[in-house]
Amino acid sequence: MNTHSSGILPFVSLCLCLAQGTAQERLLVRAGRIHLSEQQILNRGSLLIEKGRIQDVAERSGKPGDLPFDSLTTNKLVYENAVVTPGFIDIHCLPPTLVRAGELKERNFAMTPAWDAGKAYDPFASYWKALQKRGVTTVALAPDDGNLAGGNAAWIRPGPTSLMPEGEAYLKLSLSSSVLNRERRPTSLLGAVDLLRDSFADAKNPMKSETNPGLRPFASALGGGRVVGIACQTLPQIQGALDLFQEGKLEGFLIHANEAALALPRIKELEIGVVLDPLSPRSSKKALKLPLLLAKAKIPFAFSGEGFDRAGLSRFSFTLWTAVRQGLDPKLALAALTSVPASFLKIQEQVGSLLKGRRADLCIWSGNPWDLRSKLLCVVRSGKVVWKAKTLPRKTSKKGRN
Amino acid sequence: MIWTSFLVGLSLFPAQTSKPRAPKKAPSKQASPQSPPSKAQDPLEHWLKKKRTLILGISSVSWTPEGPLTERKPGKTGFWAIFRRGRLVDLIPRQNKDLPIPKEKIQAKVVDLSERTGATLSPAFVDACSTQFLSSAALSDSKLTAGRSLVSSLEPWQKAYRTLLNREGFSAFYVPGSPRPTTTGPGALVTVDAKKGFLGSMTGSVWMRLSSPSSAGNNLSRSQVVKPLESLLGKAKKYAKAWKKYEKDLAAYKKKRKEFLAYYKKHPLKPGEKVAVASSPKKSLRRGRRRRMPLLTPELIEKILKRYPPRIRDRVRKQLEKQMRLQQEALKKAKAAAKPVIKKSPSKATKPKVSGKAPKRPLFPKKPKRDPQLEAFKRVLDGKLGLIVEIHRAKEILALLDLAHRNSLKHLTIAGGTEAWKVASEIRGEEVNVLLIPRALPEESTLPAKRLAIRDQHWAFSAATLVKEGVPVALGSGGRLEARLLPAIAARAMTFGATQHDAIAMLGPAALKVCGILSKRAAPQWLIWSGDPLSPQSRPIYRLRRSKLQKMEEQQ
Repeated sequence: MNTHSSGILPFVSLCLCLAQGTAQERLLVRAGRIHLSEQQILNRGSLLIEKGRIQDVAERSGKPGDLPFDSLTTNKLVYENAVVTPGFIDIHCLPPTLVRAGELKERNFAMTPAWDAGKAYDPFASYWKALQKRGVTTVALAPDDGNLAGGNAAWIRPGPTSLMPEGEAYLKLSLSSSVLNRERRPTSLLGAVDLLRDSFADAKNPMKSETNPGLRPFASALGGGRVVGIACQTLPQIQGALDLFQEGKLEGFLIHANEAALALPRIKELEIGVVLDPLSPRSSKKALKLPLLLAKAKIPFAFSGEGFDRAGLSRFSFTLWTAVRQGLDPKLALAALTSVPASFLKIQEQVGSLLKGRRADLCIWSGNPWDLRSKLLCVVRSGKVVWKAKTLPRKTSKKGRN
Repeated sequence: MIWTSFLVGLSLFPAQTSKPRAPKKAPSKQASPQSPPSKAQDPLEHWLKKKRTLILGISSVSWTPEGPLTERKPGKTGFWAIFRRGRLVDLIPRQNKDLPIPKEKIQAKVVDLSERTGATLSPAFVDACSTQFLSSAALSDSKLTAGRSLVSSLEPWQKAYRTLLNREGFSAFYVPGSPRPTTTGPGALVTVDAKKGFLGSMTGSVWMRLSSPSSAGNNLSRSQVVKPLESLLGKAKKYAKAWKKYEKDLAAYKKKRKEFLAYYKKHPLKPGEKVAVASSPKKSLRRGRRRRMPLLTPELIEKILKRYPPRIRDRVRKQLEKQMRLQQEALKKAKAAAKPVIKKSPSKATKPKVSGKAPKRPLFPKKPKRDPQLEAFKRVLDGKLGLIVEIHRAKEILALLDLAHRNSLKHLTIAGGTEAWKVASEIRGEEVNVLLIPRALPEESTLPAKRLAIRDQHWAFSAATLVKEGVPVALGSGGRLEARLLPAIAARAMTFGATQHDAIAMLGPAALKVCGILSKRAAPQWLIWSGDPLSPQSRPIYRLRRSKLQKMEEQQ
């Protein structure tokens, strides 16, 4: 008997320890409204997070005692009137400190396709913490627009908890005016398009692409093997980029395409997306209308470039506010920062929504995220609270709600 | 429903349409906009019987002027808002859709907008610092200094305001003057309309730029930033004094001239006789300012001697004692020479005196030179014109408040005010307004910005901090189209503790006070929104102008 009991006790204690450990790894989020994805919204929802992923989702009836997953864990984030959204994704992130230091750009060579932006990633930079405070949980650290073939943009979950990039995001090419340089090729837009066309043509030849490491990124992108992002602003630049997409049967998106409104049918035909600059108070009428036009044409679009404008407002928050004020559907505006960039990067099975099995990257807001009157209360990444507001927001007075 | 279909958009002025107009009468007490209904009478019934009254059925009101209306709570179906001469005069809680009197007896115009869910009455927004309508020449004109009229520099045909009016609800823009010169203005508050565009302007304040957030300096030099303003105010005071003296001299001249003419009317000039001319006041030969010797006493001499080295003290003492003796003798002489002055009682007759002795021809007093800038600052000192001073650092603001206190400036506004939040209580103590211009923040990387007390979401935080302290705050864009940032800042200020009432006030009603619009005609314009004006999903749908509803342009 003694031998039996001495054998069972460690086993039971081990089981208890494991169960306790699992319970500690669990997190329950209870909120007034949860935006699971663009189409699915839960009113009075509960999220169960386990091991950094969404384990289960449930809607509450509102009756007292109806608290799903409540007994499973003691780790709880309860915000009964708050709104939960997926964490924001910045698909084209250029940290100002790195840009200023010239670390995302090669000055002497226009073609650096094998270059990896992930190598410039410093997990301890204060910029990432500031991004977390604004609800950004995933970024694609991209090379600067100054190189014709900038190289690989890296998919990063920024901050000290993630020391290495998660993987390659997309191949960054650029046809913007900052590529042109009198001291090296290309010196004109036509020359730039031609150089890229030649590179793709050479990459089609297996003999050349195997021997030349500079051609391998191009070869991998051909036929939609890898996502390509091309920076282009004016209509001629957009047309050049669209030609490249068509000829190489590439898959990807246009970046900063401010004049995309003039080439909507072709963009739609080629089934490519558009990544827009954040809207600002100085945005032109065309820039303000562009999201509406893209939404009308059912072309997927995302916003990029979170940062801090001169008024100190978060660019993404101001963009959401402005886009909705211009008449864009709030769900579409929110999707442009969450699910759409995730699908552009082909990581929609990981992030961008709060469906079962996705990573638990989420933001908890005191109201609608597109309303500047609501405050970001908490940011959760991979099931861990990475940022929390110090105090709860003051209730709005009844005076204004006459 | 019947009422709604029948009354919406219809003008119910039967007396005006069917009968010829009666001759104008002097306005009676009852006809005044603020005349309240008697207690026994239903207030809605009272207003329904009034002509030239607009009664709006709305769901909610986002802001009300200070007074009894602030405490009104909505009824089951919202409010009846009563307007007379474009001013909100009453708010009546609305319990049902029916009107208390038959439609034949209704004299007022009734429009029911409560059918539209969430129709909210709100004051129209004002951009408190804009360059709308300012000609490109004026934008680069460095000679458009204070005192020069801004009206000729405005181009009423500019159309950039349209999107701001139709989408953001801005119906007025305060143009402070040319952005180039240090002093400019008085500015103009330009009101716009969806149909007619530029409606007109009202005079505002003088603008003076004393510093910028990127201007270099240290704690010693920052309190000296207000020196140019101090010197200008000093000059303006002297200018005012010179003009006062001139007016006094002119009155004396007119009187003397009357006497002079009266004398020669009675005693015409004989051939060869000449008229004596009054001599012009002699100019002092002393040039510059010389310090007068103080009245010496033995104690003072001892005190003065301490400043000198001991070996020359005896020599200096002798000189000073000699000086003291001379002073004492001169004083004695002066006392002896002084005679008691007998005051003459003023003559009752207003007629010019014709004495026997021929009066001298009076000289026309010297007129001071007109200076429009000093003229403007003289009006500022008199409290007839507001003054907006662009200043940023806390130390500079304190120096400005001190100057304002010494000169008892009445309508002072701090523009920019990057660090105004730090000295909010001092600003409130001096009853000074603050105009925040969100674009004035320098780049984060620059050195002056690092030394500035900039907070996260700085302008929203600043606005909320100041408003909570009780300082009137307005927001200005400093450009043409950047005004769309202002509602965002106001909305964001609510996350820092500002109430919705405060947020709406800083976008509209407070701007009139902050910009120094002292005209009695100045009153907030009103808009009807499809929802809460600070919600991104609501739009302005109607504009109220002179008790008439104007539909805003359709959203494209």
